[in-house]
Amino acid sequence: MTLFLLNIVLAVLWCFTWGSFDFLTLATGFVLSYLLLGLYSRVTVVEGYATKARDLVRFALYFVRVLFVANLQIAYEIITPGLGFSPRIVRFDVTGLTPVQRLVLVNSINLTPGTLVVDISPDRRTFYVHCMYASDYDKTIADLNDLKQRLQTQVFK
Amino acid sequence: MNHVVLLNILTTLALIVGLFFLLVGALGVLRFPDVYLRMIAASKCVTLGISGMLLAGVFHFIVIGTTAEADAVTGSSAMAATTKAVLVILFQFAAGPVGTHMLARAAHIDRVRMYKKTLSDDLREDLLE
Amino acid sequence: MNALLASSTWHEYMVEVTVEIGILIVAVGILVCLIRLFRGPHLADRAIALDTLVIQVIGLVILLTLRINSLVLFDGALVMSLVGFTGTVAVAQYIVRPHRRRRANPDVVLKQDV
Repeated sequence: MTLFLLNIVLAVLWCFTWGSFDFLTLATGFVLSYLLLGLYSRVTVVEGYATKARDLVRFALYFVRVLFVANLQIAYEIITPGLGFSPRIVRFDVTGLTPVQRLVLVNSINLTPGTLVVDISPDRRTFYVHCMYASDYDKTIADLNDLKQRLQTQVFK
Repeated sequence: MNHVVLLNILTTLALIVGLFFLLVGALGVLRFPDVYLRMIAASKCVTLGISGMLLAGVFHFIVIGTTAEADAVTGSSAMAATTKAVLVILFQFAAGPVGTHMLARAAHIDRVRMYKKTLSDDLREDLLE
Repeated sequence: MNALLASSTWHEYMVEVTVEIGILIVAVGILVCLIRLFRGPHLADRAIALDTLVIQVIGLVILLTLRINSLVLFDGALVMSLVGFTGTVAVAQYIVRPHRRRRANPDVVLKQDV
């Protein structure tokens, strides 16, 4: 966390030296100061930040890939005639997540393959997820669990 | 000169992808049989489509900046274009799913009829208990 | 048409032709959204159609930005994406409100009961 703050401070300093606060300058400064901090934490033995950032990037790549696959699937369904849906609303257990984790999970579920969170139970332990292709109940739950697992291991550690 | 050609080709590709997904999202809203399926089509395809269009805009303004035809009066700068495009994309990815979720919840509370091939509805079962 | 003839190289020509065709495609998308807006059996259908329509208009604004080579319209895209979200949330609240009122006071008669 300290290293992350240091990274932001260095990026802002980079912006000051260029005299502009545009997104591109800030992004360049962020990347450069990240490389600098990586060098720094290799010299002094402060671990954790680099691997965490790498996990975040890996999750982002996975997410973009899933987003594209989902959209091409829906596009195929729309363009070809006939409707091959088997929709369901399923229960999905999310016991033991903090509110922020639940928010990120809802956003990710709403953006990935044919799924949509319809409601959350009053005790906030169950999502009710509407799925487009859910002829196999257990496989649907397994897919959602995979996404939850990835979020827990790669984003929130 | 060479990278201008590359950037123009990238602009065209991003435009084609964005337009394809925008059109597909609109057709899905028209074609799909019930509210929830329409919501899925609308929220996902259209978000991706608008991201493609904004990327095309960013590429195009980088080209304008390098060919030195930028006029200071209208403020055609690649930096400003990038900043605004990134803001719109971030907002779409953060707020689009929230709006869709609220609308789906409202529709279910109002008992909108579901597609006739729907297999099961766990939420309705739990509410009836 | 003058804008098309003014370009000198093939790749600039390609971008301009794509923009011109894109305006037509977005127009078709807006028309499709309007059909759903008129036909939609439920208020939620109309809200989705309106949400999609707003995003199509943002796409149209970006295409016009590419066509006139100026950023003056780009802020419009930002503002429209904010306002579209607010509209969706407002319609969702409007649908839920009578049910919430009935939960507080069971004597209220709703349209579904009649």
